Amino acid sequence: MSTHPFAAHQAALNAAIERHLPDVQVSFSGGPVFGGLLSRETFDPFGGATVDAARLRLGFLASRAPGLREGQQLLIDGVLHTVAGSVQPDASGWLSVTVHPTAAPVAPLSAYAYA
Amino acid sequence: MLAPAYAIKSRLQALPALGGWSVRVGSEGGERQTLPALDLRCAGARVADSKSGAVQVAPQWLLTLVVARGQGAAEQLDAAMAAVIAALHGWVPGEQGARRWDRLTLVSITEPTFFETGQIGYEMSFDTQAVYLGAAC
Repeated sequence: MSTHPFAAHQAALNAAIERHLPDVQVSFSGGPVFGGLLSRETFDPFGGATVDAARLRLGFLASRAPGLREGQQLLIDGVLHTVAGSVQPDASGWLSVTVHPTAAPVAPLSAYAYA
Repeated sequence: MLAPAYAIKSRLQALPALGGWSVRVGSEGGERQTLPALDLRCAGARVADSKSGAVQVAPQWLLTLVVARGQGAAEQLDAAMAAVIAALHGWVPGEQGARRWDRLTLVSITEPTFFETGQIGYEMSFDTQAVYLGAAC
């Protein structure tokens, strides 16, 4: 732990948030379960009311998922999610990533007819 | 100007490559969460020709193809795109809304967009045109 007073306060705050405020249970790569904060807001990918989608952001202590990279998966409350976008913890060690439910694989190309 | 929408929708819904897709028209409203989806809407029109008594109005039809990001998504999207071109490019909607519409022409396809929220898609634009009479006729 850092001996810098402010860094120590940040670490204590992050630990308290993880301990008292989590709203989801998360695990990474078969590791132990830890607490995370999941936020959800509406998102229209193409604008113009084309698709009604949700943007999910998950916050947690970066040290709980060492080596996590974009494209890898997290189990959030028992549902597999894919990490999309940047994976950059802030200076205090708190990580916020965008996730989306992992889609089921689609049948190969040969299964489609070209009308 | 919006009359061809339902003829286009019916033609797309009959495509085997779009089986299981939600084909929807912007003007209809309704749920927009189901994927894969093809959203059809009119993106305005240009005036292709103008005479004293009539104008040639050329609406642009925007088709947004969206699938869930993941294994096989690109192939699914490309198969749908090929089927849409085969069905619509050169097709004549004919009489729709008491007006005769010329053949559809593919005008453009945007680059695919990958969203962090788990979708991938692109937009295809088709032109058609019809004559509208003015006051001088």
